[in-house]
Amino acid sequence: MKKITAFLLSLNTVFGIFLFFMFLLIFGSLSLAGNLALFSGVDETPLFKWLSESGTIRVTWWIYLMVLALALLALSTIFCTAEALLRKARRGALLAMIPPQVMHAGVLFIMLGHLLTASTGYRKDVTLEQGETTSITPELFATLDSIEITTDKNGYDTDWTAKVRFSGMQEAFSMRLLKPVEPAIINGLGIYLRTVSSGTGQSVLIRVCRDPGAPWALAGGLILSAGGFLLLWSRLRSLN
Amino acid sequence: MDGAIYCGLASDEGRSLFTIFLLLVSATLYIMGLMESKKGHYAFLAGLTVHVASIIERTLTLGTLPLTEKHDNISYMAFVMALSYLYIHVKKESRSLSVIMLPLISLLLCVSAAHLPINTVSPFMRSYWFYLHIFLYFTAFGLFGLSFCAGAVYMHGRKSEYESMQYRTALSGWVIFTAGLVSGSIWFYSAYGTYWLWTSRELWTTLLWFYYGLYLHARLMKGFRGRTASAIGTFGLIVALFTYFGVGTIIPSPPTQF
Repeated sequence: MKKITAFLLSLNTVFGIFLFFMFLLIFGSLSLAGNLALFSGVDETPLFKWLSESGTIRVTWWIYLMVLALALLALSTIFCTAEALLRKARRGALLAMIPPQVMHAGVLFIMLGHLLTASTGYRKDVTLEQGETTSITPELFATLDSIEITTDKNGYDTDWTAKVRFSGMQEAFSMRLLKPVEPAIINGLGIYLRTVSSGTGQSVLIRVCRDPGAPWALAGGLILSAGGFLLLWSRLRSLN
Repeated sequence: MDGAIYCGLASDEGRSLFTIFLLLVSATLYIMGLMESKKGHYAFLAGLTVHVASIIERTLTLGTLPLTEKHDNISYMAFVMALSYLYIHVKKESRSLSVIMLPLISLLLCVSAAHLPINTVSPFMRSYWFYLHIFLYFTAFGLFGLSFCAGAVYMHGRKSEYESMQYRTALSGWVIFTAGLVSGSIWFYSAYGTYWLWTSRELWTTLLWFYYGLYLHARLMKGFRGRTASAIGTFGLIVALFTYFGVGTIIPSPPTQF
């Protein structure tokens, strides 16, 4: 047990994981480039579901190793953070010296967010044709009323708006306006406007998703940023 | 009607060419900043003024902050470096830093000028989170550029003040870069319902974050200093520039619907 603790507390372990993870990132980017067709669907499905369905471990092994490296990094971060907090508490300088630990907590939250997203998320793309009612989940239906496209003087799209009516099995929801970067949230599902088409018949492509990891990742990101700025403030002050 | 469209396009092209002209004038003046004595300082200030004028011109053309495409982003990165240079220069004149930094700023402006300005903004970019993301991201890149220059000066002359400057600017850049990634994730989630994509650019951006994280951890926790540490910190900008320019071109990504 002592050996495992020493291993997880060692800075050399952290550096080793960093280097290994960076190698995997470089290898991964080359693997993506070499298998464009295979990876074209990876963002359409939660990661673990995609991995189990794609059945190509000979190509995707580096993702499994990434998960392993991140799990090890998470463990090491927990051990190092706990050890540092205890040490600093004994010295009575906890508040002045915790920014790195705040950042570590943020990283852990982000990892948890990614884990939840990869394992329990839900994503589905649905095309809605004008006037037709389409099932977007077994309990939720959507009807596209109309779309509006704003263009600039050169004919480029500058804004889109889609009027969509949502209804449940037993209840009706109000009309929603979907716009880029302004999703609608219905029954805990995020509804995102992806593209609009005003050709022969009006239609829109929407993404429906539920992402239980997002709040954790968001909290982690905010904690990480706050810790970062605290760290910067304390270091620059001490250097000056 | 055709005539009106033609005039509009011609006017857009004219404004784009004017912006490119301003950037090239600014790049020339920045290089002239290498002149000895006050002349160099005035040339640099003139370069900065013309650079600001080009940014204002782009703001007026786009009707929003010019941070939405490569031309503007690279120009903004050079602007951050120029402002940092001015700040350092006012505190303490450093000839050796000028010799590396001013040509790098000019080079960046030439690269920016080589990318034709795009005068339209995608509906998905109309978000405060997007602007915050790009603003922080390229502020960080500018600071990585400054860190690179300080590291190069340190490796050449071994003056510890430059090693300290390299560390401080890398740390500042990394913290701002982190906030830039977080705001980018928030924007992407609100636009597309996901905060991560399996693309080469995402992987390399993560790599860049880990790279500077490794350098800063080593410097902070192990007191890792000297020429090797400085070289590792300096190489960070190469990773950053490859992430921005190389990935996507040299290393393609799977086709996504984003």
